[in-house]
Amino acid sequence: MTNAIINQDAALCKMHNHMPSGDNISECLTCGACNTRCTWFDETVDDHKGPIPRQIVRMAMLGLEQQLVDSGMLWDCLLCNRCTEACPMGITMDVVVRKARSLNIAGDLISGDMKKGIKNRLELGDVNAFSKEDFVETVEWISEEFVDYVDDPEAEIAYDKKGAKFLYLPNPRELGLNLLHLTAMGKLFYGMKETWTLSSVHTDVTNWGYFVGKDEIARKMALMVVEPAEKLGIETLVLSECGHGYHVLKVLLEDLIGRKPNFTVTSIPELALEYAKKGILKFDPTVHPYKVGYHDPCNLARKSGVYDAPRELLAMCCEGVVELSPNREDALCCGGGGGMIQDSNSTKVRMTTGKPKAMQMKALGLSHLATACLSCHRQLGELSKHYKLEIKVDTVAAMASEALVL
Amino acid sequence: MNKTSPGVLIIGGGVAGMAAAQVLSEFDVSVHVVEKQGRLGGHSVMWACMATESCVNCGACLSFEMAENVIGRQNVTPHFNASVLKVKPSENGFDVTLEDGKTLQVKKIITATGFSPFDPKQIASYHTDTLKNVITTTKLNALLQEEGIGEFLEGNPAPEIAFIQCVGSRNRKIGNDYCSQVCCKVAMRHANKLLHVIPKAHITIFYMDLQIIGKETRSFYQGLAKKVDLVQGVPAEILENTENGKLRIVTENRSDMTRVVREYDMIVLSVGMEPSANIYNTADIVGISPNPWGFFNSGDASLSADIHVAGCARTPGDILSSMQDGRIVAGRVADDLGLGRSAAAKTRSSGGNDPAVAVFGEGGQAVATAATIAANGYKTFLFGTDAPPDKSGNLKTIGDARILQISGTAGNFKIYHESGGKRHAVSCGVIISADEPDLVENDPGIPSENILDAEAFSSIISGSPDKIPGDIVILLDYGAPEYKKWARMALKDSRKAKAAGKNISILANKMLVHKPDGQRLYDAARKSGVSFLRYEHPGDIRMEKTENGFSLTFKEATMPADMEVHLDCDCLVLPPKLSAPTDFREKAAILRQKTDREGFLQSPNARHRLTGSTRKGIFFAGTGHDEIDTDDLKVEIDDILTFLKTGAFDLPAVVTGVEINEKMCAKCLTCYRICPHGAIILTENMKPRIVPDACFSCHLCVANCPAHAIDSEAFANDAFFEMAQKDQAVVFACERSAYLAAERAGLPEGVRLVKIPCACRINIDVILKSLLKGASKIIIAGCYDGNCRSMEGAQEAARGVRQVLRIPGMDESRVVFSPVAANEPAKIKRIVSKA
Repeated sequence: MTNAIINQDAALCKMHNHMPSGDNISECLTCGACNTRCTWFDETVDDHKGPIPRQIVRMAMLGLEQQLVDSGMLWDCLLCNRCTEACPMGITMDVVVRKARSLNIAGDLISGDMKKGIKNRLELGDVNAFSKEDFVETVEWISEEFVDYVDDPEAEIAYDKKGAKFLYLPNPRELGLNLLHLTAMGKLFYGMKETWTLSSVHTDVTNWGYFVGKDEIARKMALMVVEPAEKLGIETLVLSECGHGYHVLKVLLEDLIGRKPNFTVTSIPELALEYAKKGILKFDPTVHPYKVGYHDPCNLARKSGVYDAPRELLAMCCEGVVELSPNREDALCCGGGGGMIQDSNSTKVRMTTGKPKAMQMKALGLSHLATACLSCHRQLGELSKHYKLEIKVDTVAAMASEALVL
Repeated sequence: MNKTSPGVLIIGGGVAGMAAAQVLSEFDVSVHVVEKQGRLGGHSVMWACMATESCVNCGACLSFEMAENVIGRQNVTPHFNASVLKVKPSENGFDVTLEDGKTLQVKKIITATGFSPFDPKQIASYHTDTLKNVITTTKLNALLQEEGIGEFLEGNPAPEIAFIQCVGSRNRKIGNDYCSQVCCKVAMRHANKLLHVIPKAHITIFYMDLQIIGKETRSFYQGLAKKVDLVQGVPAEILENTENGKLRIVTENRSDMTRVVREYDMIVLSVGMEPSANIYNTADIVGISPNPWGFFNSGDASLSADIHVAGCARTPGDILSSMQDGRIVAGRVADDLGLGRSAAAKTRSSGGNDPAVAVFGEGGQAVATAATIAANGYKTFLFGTDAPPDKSGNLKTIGDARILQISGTAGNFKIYHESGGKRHAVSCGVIISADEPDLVENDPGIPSENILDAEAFSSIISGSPDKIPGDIVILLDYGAPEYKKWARMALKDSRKAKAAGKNISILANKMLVHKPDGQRLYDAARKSGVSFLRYEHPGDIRMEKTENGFSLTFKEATMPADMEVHLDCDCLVLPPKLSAPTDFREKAAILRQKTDREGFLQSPNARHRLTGSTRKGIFFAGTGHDEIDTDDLKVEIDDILTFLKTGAFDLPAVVTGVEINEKMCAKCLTCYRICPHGAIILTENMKPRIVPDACFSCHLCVANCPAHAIDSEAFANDAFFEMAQKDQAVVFACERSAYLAAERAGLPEGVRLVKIPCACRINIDVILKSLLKGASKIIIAGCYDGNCRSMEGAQEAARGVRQVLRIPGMDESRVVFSPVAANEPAKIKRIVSKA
């Protein structure tokens, strides 16, 4: 039997109870709806029992901070907000969990990879410690390749180009493991016939300050994107396919930095769709002569409201989009969210948290699946392999690039 | 009715509309009921009967009889398949145009458009579109009424069934931040019924806070709790196991604090009540506007002087309370029209005067009742020691009196009482029992001045909060059930305490959120920082005295099962416990009434609820007979006042055709003793006499008179003898229940259906004579136990059948008694088809 003393003077209580309606956890009805929506469903793995969402809210509300930290639920939570979707009081679970993660007593729970990534990002501008020199070298090299790729001697992948209309903010993987993805995105910009650039000052769409719940870190990281972009005088910041990056830079940005940036923010699939609707980008759907399932990334869909754009774009680039069930607001998390995939020791857990997703993919009965978040993309690919689903997983923008008719 | 009779338009022919029509038709008024369907009854006629061995008092079956009654009234014109197109205010009221072009002139309008069940498609995660075994309460009612549930479950003898409560209720996000008031009771009754139909079914009810409120609900709940799983927490999603087709719900596994998937064969969504789909259109046409919920149950809805709203159109409620609301609103309309008392009412008191009213009871409720009745112009006797100030000059208090006996019938009661060692008698037309139960202080076994009862806390926190220390706990549902009155006080007072700078927690197993604003009060209290803790069992709470106050240790239902939480406070608030005093039995006996299963006054029989009794002219008000609060008491008094105005102390008096043949009477007084309605009085020479106006025509006396001295014009023994035919099955069906079901079902050719006033009329004599005449089978179909208007009628018939079956050589299959409610057409068809 464990003991807990109710303490409504606890820091966590106060953190929440000063928030406006909706995030005020004392409004919890204890209806239990959240408990029935957790992506973990009936899974447990090793000592990870997965979250009981209502317990998280109630422990926070009653000031049972230590019990909450000891429960293991804080970092088991995938921040997918599947529970929030069903909350009649609109309590936003990712906010509750991130506040608790930010407690000093929860500091030791942060994974080594996460800590290191945050340090790299703050000091060097990239979670993988990709330096400015590395960046310049890499981009100049792929820019040369790009001339052949689009068969146009004038074509380029520029960086730090003042007055460009678009600034593209890639995912760290695009500059390391997956350079071809960056080239593919370049092709989409090329097809739009607009000026665009990368920035050597900051290279990274991610914001792990979000995962650890520390607003100060998240703010710094966001400003590292915003300020140089404003200096370049761009019109629109175009984000790589990154769920939490989009959620932070599109949805949370103003609250985080306390002002509006001098540019608009969009993502590459949304921008490509816009140019397709204008008739500027044209796609050949026969390049992908098959139907493709679409996975809603939690950060993009539930947490930022982007449901239709990736589907519409995907539909132009293949034989048709097929829905997983459930989908959209009720979509299942890939199982890698909440900072889990950023922890290199999480593979075994992720294969369990992703099992409902894998079963859903299997039930779809297709051999192709696409999504619009590189983290989901990686997790879904690993699930496909682990559960022997033989499903090829792509990103929507990558498929669009392949189908683009120049 | 003459040509100048004022017209009243009732929009909607559901229970509230019908009840309003019944009341108004007692007056010289021309009543128009506009109903969009081709029948009266609204949703209530689609409800299944919830009775198992006995009636569970939902009242759904009553609407069939009401519908017949309303249609049969001369001054009521039903307009079926009709709707109102235009309402134009005119000099004399309103010119109303119906969709088919008909025009009506009316003075007043009652909007009784009822409710719509919440459409669960709005909650996509329940997948009602694709999962056919996810059904709503409405569908379950249909399945039960058609006796189709077994087939629906493909004959599964042991199905797993779940109920999910609060679907579309108590949900701010979808704009329904109110409790629909009825769904918990409905689900509990449904679960009980399903277990009766499929005894091996396993049933789970997922609830938010079971709203255990009202007469006998607690004992019903306790019985049910032994048979079903009650799980706190409402699932928000249903998935399908594609391999076995079962429905999957993820819930918290309390034992090891993980989530667990449970599988079900059928899931019932307890959908809440929303206003009827076209309320905005109707409101627009008549010129009123509902509140944001679409109801008229808060100050932000607007009405006009000549337009009223009744029933579920006004506020969500159950069948009996909607009927009551219809009656009360109609009573108000009658007052507005200056109709005074109805002709019938005038014939029921000597000289056409208003009847005198006697009110029984010590305490505030009897005082409030007597004062209101007196203020309405009735000469009133209050049998109680607390004398209210009498502004009307109508009120006389008879303090310190012991009531000995009551003789007579409605309109002519005589109350014999003893006071000051002398016997007195008071004459009156109507009696209201407003006796109060005992309030027992809740004693946690710790002496302390900082334990307050709810009332004391309420007055201190409102007046001088500084007198109370800063950390307060209100403990509900501890040592006594949680009553709605104190739940509401806790919600209100906790906010006052919060405003006075206190820390306050409410500790309860469930939060009762009755009334339209109950959920909002609860939401506001949480928002203001009142902390709500949910304990699993009262026995889990340990209370210790500390230096400065108390330490409470308990298991919190939302916390891990292996965790105990501690809460310190320096002031503890404990509501009292209500208990039925032992003298309630005696009080009931004097009124020739029964107490309920919990010892409170008034039988729970739906035919006489909410305020009535088996005897015309005897009513109940206050906490002695039901769980009510101050507002409810006002409603009860209004209801009784409406009865007084119409004189319809119950459904209209009938010409009973029952008479005692004085020559044959042996003066054994069996009839006097057994009459459930107190309609037989003794004349001065000790002869029994039937008072027609008090008689309900149940024929219990006819069937039981040992001397065969009571004649019935319509239902004489010989008449029954004529009805039986050789080799033909005879169904004797009670006109209030089985007959209505049989009419709807349509019985096969060759079966003789005989309408009888009450099953009790069919005694051994009738059965044997019918068999002698050659009838192949006798089926007696009456009301369920507890639903008979004459209380014991159905049981009496069943006893008769048992006696006949004891006769040696009697074939058991030839004589059958079966209860059949008016809303059980499939059941009567099944029983008869076996014949």
